[in-house]
Amino acid sequence: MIGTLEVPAPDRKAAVAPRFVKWFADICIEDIPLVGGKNASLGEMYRELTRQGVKIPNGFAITAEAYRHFLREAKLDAKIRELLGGLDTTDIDNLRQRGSQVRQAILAADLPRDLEQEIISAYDTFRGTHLHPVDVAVRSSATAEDLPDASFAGQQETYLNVQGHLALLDTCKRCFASLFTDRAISYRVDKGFDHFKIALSIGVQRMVRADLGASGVMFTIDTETGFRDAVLINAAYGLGENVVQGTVNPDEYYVFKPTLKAGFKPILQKIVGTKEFKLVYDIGGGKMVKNVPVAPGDRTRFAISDDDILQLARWACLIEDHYSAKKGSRPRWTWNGRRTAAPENSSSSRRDPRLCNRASSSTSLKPTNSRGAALCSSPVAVLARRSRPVRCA
Amino acid sequence: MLVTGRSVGEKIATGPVRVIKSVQFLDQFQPGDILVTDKTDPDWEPIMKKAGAIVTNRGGRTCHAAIVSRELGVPAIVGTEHGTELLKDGQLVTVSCAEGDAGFVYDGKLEFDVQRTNLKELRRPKTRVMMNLGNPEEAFSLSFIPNDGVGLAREEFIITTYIKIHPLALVDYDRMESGQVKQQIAGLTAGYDDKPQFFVDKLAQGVAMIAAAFYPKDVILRLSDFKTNEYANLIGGAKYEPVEENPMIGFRGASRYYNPRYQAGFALECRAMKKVRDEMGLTNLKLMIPFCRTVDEGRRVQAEMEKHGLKRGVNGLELYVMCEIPSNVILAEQFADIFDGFSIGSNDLTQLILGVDRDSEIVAPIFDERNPAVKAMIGEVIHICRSRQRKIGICGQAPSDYPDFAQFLVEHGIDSISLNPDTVLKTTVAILEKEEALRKKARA
Repeated sequence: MIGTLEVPAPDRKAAVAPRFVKWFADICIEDIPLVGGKNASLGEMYRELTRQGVKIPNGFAITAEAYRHFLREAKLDAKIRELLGGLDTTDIDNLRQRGSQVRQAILAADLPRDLEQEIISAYDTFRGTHLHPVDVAVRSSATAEDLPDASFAGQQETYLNVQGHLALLDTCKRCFASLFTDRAISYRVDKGFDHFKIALSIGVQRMVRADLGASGVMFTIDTETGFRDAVLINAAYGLGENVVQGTVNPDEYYVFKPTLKAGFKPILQKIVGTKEFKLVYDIGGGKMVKNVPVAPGDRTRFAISDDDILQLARWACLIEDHYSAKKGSRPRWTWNGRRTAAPENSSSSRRDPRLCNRASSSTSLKPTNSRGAALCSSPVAVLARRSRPVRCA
Repeated sequence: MLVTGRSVGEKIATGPVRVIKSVQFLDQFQPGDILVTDKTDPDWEPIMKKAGAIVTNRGGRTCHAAIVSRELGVPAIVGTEHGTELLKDGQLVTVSCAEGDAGFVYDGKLEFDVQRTNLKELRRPKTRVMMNLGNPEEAFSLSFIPNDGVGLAREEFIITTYIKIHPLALVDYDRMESGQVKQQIAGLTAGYDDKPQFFVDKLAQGVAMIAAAFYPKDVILRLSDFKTNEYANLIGGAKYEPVEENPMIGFRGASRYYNPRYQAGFALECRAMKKVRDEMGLTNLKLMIPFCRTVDEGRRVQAEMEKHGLKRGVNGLELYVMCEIPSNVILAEQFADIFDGFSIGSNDLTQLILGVDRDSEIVAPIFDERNPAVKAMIGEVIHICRSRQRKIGICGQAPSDYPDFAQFLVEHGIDSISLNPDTVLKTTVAILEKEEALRKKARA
């Protein structure tokens, strides 16, 4: 089903310079239509929870308006509509061919100059006085005007360890193109979503060297039983993608919320996972990151310390309390965010974890009182921490 | 059992195995097949929704396969490590996610029952209905069954499943001669330099899962109650345990705790309980001494516990004693002086009142909790506890197996009945009826 490309109404926020970039500090959860669920959730947390001690590396969103601007300026809308016009999703070859053509068209187009300038200038803010390019994580965050709560999780791409202007701009285009993967196109057709009412926002966030430490995912309830008083944390070495994608069997920890909030240290369970691989930065390779085996001695050890486990669980409680206060009895946000622990100074040995990178949001449409649905409506976080100082090479 | 991993969902599924190693072979999949693969990603979703169950080699609770199958309501077992090698295409299997955190794939089609109860209509009876629980992995899900706490939490499952090693073997690890046993212990405790701490941590974690699941309701933990033959089966255990003709009435329960032969092991148990109560703040945990033959033994055990920071009355610590030996009933007044409550272990009590060895097929039929001698003893101890304002409960299946026995207990005014989880609902309904009948009788 192909709809018309709507000319978006001028956004009052977009009128203020910069037009296409919004820093986390200026984003709240109500901004989902503009920045997508992940970014809105990260912004909300950055704004509201940083002062409560939850560490979230800074970042900015390239808004849905930027995507529409790009499509308009590069005259891609007409082209895409034409390419998808005669699409038959039941014919795999047809889908593959047309999907590929759409993506090629997006990648071949030039980003508008004003947009490029805004992205570069925002990115350079990270750099400060550093001489080397800053490494960032770039993640797409889809959003639909009429379906702000729809879940598009996992449909778009994530790029880790992106460095430098050219790489960043190129990655942005690849993010935009990811809105038209075969899978995404077919998903929208199956669900009856209009390709042109869906837009893409991009999150650009400082990376922290979780590849030198550990990372993972956490839930504010037990995902299996719906038990609400425990935080479940999965953790493995390296960057968080392996845990999210299930490439490794992570450690599993449970922390009990009621007595944690009362000041105790209730780590209820620690189960060591096999953690076969870790995702680390690649140096000089074709890709930005690579999977390497974990030393046997490290595999039998827990990926993070008890203090880190408790710290993460405290943050999970803060996040949960924040969202439940804000949302009242409505279905709560599911978000997953990467939490990376990374000191600003690469030679430091600070070991504090922080939340970063990814936050997707989707509300559960199921009632929250049933056990099965509870897991859909719970906050999820990806976490990471750094275990040892980085050597200054 | 063919394969095990982390379970997702609570369902059971049966079907033929379909091992699919790559997305290019997705078309081989038939609806209802058991999908067996290394791991999944969004490209697999089209067949995941058609799967009877999903089994992956890799991944944890939060991996793609787990999240998607949970949303789809398809049972899954993730992180089986070798599922794709051990399960064969076309093989008929039963995938069970109904047994706690661990999921199992069994060979063939297994039978199972589904029982449904409408919880909304269930009132709470005056008699407290509690649960017997030994497997910490089941604690969270069982906490959803309407209950008044845990009347009997056991250490034994935790020790045999998570620890596997005799506590004294861990205490003596550094002095132990190298060999197979030492190697085995080294493997299990990898990551722990302090070997006894491994026992403390694992036991504390197991107990904490149970205490947390039911918090702030009472969770009464019975301290270790293995017989010597069972202790000897733990890794490195044979060296520390005497061979006994009659372990049931041998070196077990309270008699071990203050004895120099086990004191160091009991110290580890105490440290674990202190950790759960003081460090984790789970003060709903109460401790129970099993097989306490004399009042003096009760005192000696308490003195031993105090050495390790567990003093009755401090930080709300309540100490219970199992009532499972005739002496516990006969001297109930004196036991009541030093304990906060009693829990009737009807199996051992019946066995010792009637002098029946349940393992002897010839006399086993004589074993019956409803024997008048047993009932007289139970009636008496309930009476004494009530007059001394001590709590009195029972942990055993008799009230659920015999409705008349439950009625007898309710009539005598027992405080709590602790049951295996699968019989809690059924017995709650029966107790509600009994209480209602008693009220009517009182009014008439």
